[in-house]
Amino acid sequence: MSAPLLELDDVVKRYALPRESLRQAPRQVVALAGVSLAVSAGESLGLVGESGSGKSTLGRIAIALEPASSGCVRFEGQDVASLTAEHRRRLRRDVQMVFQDPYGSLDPRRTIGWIVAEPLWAQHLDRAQRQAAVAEVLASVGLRPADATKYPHEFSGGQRQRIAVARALITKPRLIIADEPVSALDVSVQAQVLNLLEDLQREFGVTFLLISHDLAVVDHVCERVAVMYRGRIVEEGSPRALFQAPAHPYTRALIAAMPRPVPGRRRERFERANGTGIASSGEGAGCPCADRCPYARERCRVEAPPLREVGAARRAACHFAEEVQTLPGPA
Amino acid sequence: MTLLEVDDLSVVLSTARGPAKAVRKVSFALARGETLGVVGESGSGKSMTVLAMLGLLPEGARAAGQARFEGRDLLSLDEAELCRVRGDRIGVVFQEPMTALNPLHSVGRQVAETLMLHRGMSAGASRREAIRLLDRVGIPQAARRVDAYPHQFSGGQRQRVTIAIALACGPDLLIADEPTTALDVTIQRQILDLIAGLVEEDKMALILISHDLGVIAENVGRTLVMYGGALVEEGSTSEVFARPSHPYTQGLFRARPRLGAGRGTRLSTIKGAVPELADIPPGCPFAGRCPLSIPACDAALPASVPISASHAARCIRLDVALGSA
Repeated sequence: MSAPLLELDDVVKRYALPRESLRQAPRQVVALAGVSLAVSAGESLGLVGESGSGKSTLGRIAIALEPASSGCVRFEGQDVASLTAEHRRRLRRDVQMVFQDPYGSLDPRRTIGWIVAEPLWAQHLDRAQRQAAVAEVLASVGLRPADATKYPHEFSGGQRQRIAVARALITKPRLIIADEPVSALDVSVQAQVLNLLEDLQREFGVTFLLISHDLAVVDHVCERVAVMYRGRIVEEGSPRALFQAPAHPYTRALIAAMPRPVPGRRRERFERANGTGIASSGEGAGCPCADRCPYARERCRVEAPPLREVGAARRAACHFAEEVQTLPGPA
Repeated sequence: MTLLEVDDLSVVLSTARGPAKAVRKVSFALARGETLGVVGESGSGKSMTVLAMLGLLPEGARAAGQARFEGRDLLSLDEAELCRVRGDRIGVVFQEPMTALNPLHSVGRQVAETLMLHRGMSAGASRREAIRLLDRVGIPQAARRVDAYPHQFSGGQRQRVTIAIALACGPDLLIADEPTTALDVTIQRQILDLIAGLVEEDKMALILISHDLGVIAENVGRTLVMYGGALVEEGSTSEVFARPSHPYTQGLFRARPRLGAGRGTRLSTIKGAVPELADIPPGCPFAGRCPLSIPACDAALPASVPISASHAARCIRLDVALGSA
């Protein structure tokens, strides 16, 4: 395996909640509770989890939009927290982001040409060079060069998301972080954007970190998946292995909960009776899933399972991963 | 026995670009205790159809046609009469539980309100009934939580509260408009299980609106597919899913990423985008994006063509569409 392009080493992120009392220190919520992850060049990694699991926080920290509370984020081996201004500019060029909402992420008063060219401002190109770059990148996402003079409202949701991808591509980034890039789109349009992401990966060898709550989307685009739960990675591996024989009960529950277009399918529940599933991000001893997991045993309540190897290129944070893997398929 | 009979229901919205047909001559019937799913993308008219029945259309919208509920045409009722049906005989659950609930009142009061209004219950009796309902929809420690406010509940629990409100008067029909779209997938599963259980126990009829084919497949017996304001396909859920027949339904099934398909399997796409309502042509709404369209498709909204006794689609090229499937 080549040296990782992006590396997270035991990253913790805490946010202070609004102060409730003047006499007490504000309470904290742990968004990331020690995440270690490596993404190699050319690879596409999917980050799956529910709201509040920390997947977007991880994306924002990876692109240095926010500092980590502790731990280390390295891009091409360099700690992003201690970069010089010059290196930081390079990082901004090499790592780009695509956001969820193509209606909110494009300035309605700017032309497409301006929006797409904006990341180039730091690179001091002249006008002709910028225009050439815009035309090239619009073509690569399936839009026409003439679209550069139009405004965002003239485009549909799927086209807007293509524009957002074009803006990310224009600096020829090494890594694109896409945070729920298709969840705001209709199904018939979503497919166009997913195919585009796949093409870009093949043509330009861009490394992708794709954040999504939709397992099928990740399965479609990524060669590796990490499942997050309450600020931790609970399982990691190839989509095929993970979805066929999940080694972590939470992954299993996610797959089982996914609605499938099969009329009258039998369902399996993750929650035990009266489970409410409130994410408390409490920092007690024991496994963070123990209160929801139907397979939890005594050991789970006293000892937190580390993320450990459970097979080839496969990690899971469960004491009983080997047993869970042998359970009959979740769907 | 027929509970609801919708006949040639049309809705015209006034938009900045002139009048737009949001719903075009939709007809369907619902028997007592039957579960019906309406699937479609944004702008397909699926929400407008039920809002028109409930008299809840936005300002400037006009509805035509009939929607007979227990023999009475809902579209011709005045506001006071409608108020007696809504919340009593028809319960509604909307997508966003946070905006559906009043943040200034305790959840118990919001459940009890329905009972006081429709059943004339006293404050004490309605409170006891509210606790029972909250308990029934799975709010833990309902007796203690009855005085809590919406912000003190998680998204899934808030949706449970709105379900309790919808169920309060024991309606004959429960309408759930994208009830789980704002929720996480494991919570979605719990809420759908809850709705399915309650519908079965109370022998209610259900109209479930969703953009998610999976949600529809697992929860209803009969399915309507809407596109551009028109009902393009309808049938028993098993038939629609086994043999999607309208070119739009077929495209929708093919475009959906599937778990287990693996990387590199190319998704087939439907070219173009969902047209704006004001731009929908007078003929088949899907004609502009359809791979099978011929000039005749633009002439008029196609008639419903039966495929089997319980399955039909509105397409003049159905023979070709079925051949290609």
